[in-house]
Amino acid sequence: MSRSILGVVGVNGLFALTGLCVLWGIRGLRSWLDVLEHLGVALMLGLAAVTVLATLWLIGGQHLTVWVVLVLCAVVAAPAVQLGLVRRRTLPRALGDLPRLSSAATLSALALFALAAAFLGALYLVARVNSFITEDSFVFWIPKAQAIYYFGGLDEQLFRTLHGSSYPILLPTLDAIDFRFMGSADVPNLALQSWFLLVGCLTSMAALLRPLVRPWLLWLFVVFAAVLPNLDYRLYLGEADWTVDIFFVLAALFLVRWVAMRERWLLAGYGVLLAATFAAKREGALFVVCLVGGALVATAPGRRRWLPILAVTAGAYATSIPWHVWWSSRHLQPDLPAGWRENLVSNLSRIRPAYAVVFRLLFTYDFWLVAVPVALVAAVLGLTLAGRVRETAVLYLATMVLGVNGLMWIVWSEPTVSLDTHNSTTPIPRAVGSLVLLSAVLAPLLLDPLLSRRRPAAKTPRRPRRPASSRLAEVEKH
Amino acid sequence: MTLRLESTALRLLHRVEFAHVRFVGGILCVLAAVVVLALQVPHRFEWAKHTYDANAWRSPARRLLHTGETYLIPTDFQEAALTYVPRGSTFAVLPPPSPEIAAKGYGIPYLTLIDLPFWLQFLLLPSRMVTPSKAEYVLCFACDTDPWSPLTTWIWKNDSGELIGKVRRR
Repeated sequence: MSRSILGVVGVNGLFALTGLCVLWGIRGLRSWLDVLEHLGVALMLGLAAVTVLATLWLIGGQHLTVWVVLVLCAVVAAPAVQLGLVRRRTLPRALGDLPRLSSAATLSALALFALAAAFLGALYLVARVNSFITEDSFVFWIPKAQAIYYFGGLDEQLFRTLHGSSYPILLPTLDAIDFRFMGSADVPNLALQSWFLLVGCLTSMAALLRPLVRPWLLWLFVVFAAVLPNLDYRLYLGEADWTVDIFFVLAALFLVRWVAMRERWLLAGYGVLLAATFAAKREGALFVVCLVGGALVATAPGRRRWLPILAVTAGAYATSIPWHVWWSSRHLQPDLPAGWRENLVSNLSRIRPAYAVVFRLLFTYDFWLVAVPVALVAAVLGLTLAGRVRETAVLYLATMVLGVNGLMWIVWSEPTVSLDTHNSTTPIPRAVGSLVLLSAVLAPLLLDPLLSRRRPAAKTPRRPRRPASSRLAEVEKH
Repeated sequence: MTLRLESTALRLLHRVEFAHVRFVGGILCVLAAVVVLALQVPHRFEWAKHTYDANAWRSPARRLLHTGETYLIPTDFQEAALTYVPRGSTFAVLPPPSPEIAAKGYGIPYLTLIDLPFWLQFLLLPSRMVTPSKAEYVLCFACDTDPWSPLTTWIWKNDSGELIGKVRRR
């Protein structure tokens, strides 16, 4: 194994270890199987927290070395460990409950798990030989990372000459951390980091939704998300699109599960992933607005949950302010298109075709299979239920409605964005990926309660055996 | 006949509960996902195998250069740039006199000319790309060499009009 691969594996192991400390502190780890199940969540929490801190470190004018990364990991882990000690958390001692292999449902779940593992293995091999990056990657995303690696920090001279100089810097920072641990700026092997992000996302999905969704359905959609053609095609291209999509979707998962279960640790996870979403790409702020808007609509009747959602969102947003100050104080090219307000008025004729572009791309089978239609149908059917199932459906649908309008706004306000749907001429095929991945990830959660509602209540003299999802979702029938 | 059918349909509709609609809808959604996966998974594995096979033969260095090759930047020119431009130096990219000359004389498409400086900046970092007047090295891509020859020692060239030169003190 080359030094570069060892470096990427090592730094992701370090992120996972940091994340495990965070999880132990904020949630506790009950058994070794619990640890194993939450490794993906730990990886994503550790990666997001350390990288966001590293961006702030760079913005503060400091150099980013291996030692600094280790210190940042300690800075993230130490308070979490302290919290764990205060809460008298114990280390996992027991192995935990293994699934029983007697039922067809469990065997189906295991088969789907094996299929997901096999496909992720195939994607790993593709990452190992990746040879292509896109124009945006070599024009500015990776040169920014190279600048951080070679010149120690945010090299103003180079940043000033690059396109997208004010774009958020989480991805270049993560790439630069990888370079540090690789021992060289080995660009082709950055694909391995993207692979770790995808694996972290999918295993987090499995861990976060497991208490709410029956396993076979959950793993069916893990496989579904893994084989989305445009995800696989774009994963290793070196752009920040999938990075921001993954952080956004994980933030949404934390939020959706918090809305359903109200465990406090989920809000902490939501905040960390949201901060990473802001720091990954400028579209991240747009996606966050859609998600938070959706959550506020879904929880509107009580409004008691608005305060925690808004407070955590504001805290996450605060971490992105230093970057804004950095580039605006240096008068770099702003992160919004020049004259976008005027363009809105002068380009009213673009509204209708802009909607058409967004809808066409969302429903293009060759890109995204049927992720969006399935989730939309499930959500609409979920609206006929009450309680938390309806809340989840409303949250998803409201986020989608806001998201479609947000993407339409991008096309409308920026006349240089082409109104055709060809990959190379408009950024929207990449941008809709966030909504598609959100659909694929939330589909099992939206579908599970629908599959539990067959038996008419009047004809069931004895209490039916209820699946895990029903226990937790407190579904009520109209 | 029609009236009887309509009343039967209405009676059926009354009997149908939301729970049934939801259940059937949920099952159909799951079935749709299963069918799509059954059709798609073999293709995705094939795609992964094809992508692996298409790239596995490249050495790590060639993997780095491949994107440049897709923009029709010659491999030997990229390798020479990596070899002859020292790390930490300054360099400038000298383009052809015009896109027309590039296209007609050398078969270089316009897109290559647009992306060439960005690609070389990416490839040669930590060397810095500067304006030609400040450069220690010049990378001539089908350029007009006449103004540069008196000032430059050409240290590499190929048959396609690409040269690399070290600029002498001006």
